[in-house]
Amino acid sequence: MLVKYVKAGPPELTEADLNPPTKIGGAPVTPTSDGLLLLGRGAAQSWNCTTSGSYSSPSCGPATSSWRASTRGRHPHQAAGPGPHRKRVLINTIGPVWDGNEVWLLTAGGATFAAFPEWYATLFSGFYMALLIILVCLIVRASPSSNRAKRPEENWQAQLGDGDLLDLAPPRVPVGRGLRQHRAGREDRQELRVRRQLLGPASTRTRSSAAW
Amino acid sequence: MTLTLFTFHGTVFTALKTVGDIRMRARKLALQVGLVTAVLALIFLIWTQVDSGDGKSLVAMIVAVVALVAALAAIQVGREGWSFAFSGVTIVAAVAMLFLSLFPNVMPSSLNADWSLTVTNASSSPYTLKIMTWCAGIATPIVLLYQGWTYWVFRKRIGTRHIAAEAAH
Repeated sequence: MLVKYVKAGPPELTEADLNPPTKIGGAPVTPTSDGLLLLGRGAAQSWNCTTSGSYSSPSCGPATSSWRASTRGRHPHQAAGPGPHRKRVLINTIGPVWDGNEVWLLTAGGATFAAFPEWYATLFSGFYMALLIILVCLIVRASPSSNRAKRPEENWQAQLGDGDLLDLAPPRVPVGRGLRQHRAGREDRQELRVRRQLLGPASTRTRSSAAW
Repeated sequence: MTLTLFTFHGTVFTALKTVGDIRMRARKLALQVGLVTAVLALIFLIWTQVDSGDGKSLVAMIVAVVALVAALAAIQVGREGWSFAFSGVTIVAAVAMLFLSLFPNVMPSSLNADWSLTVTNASSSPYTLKIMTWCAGIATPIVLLYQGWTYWVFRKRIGTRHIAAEAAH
């Protein structure tokens, strides 16, 4: 089974997946807002809409959803554009497992503290600035995934989520720098370096980030 | 190098989990990012090996390089599952290589080699480690099991046509 998945990758989601045959006490199960597929605001509605017909059913288009658009100040066309759809697809690929993965990272810190207290103490204070940047980036990255669907205005989503690439890049840069300098035993100068990086001219920042 | 490696891993993941236009674009991007990664990884890994490597780290380095090339080849022929598996192996092997080349140090001192932290002098007491081993030995398989289940539930590919208009934000 697993080999099949590694070879061909997972199959595509079908309409059968959206129509779970499961029944509890004879009554059909009503999908909730945190349903399998549609993680956005008003997902329960979309679920019914999607399962009632084909995916491209005209009754599911912006025309029927315009009541919400008009009441919440959103232009109907925004709802149907390919941009938001693509973005939602990307979020939905990682969304369900994001938090679970993040916990492993926190566990790594906690386990280091418990098993190697002196290493933890030296590492976390030696790379204070780098680890702080990683932490802030994690928050800045995870928060939009949870909150971008809570308001319909484009502005809100732009502020929260459209900086995706910018949010994603920084955590890896300090990780790489940290590992490299750690390995080379230059931890004593790390803080000074990071400080210079943060306060220095933009060109210096770009160069050193590009290197690592 | 870590930036491009994880970005490569992410684009392969996107190609693995989507259908249609997004999948094709992710594949193309994965190939481009992957080639840049390969160049940077070669420089970085060889540099590390020459600087402070030993036999074990050399093995890890070879595994990392071979797996990265295999991941690139797999995404080139559209085998996203294999590509994701191989890029995962690359990450594991590269991290293993870094720590193997450090061993037994975990935090080398730049002032005096005697002040370096090693796996022995930085560790907790044997009693603490024993308790940790028991806890981790029992809890980790359970966590892996239920986390594996979440991946199983959300295993199928999705595309823009699965996203209803109301949810597209």
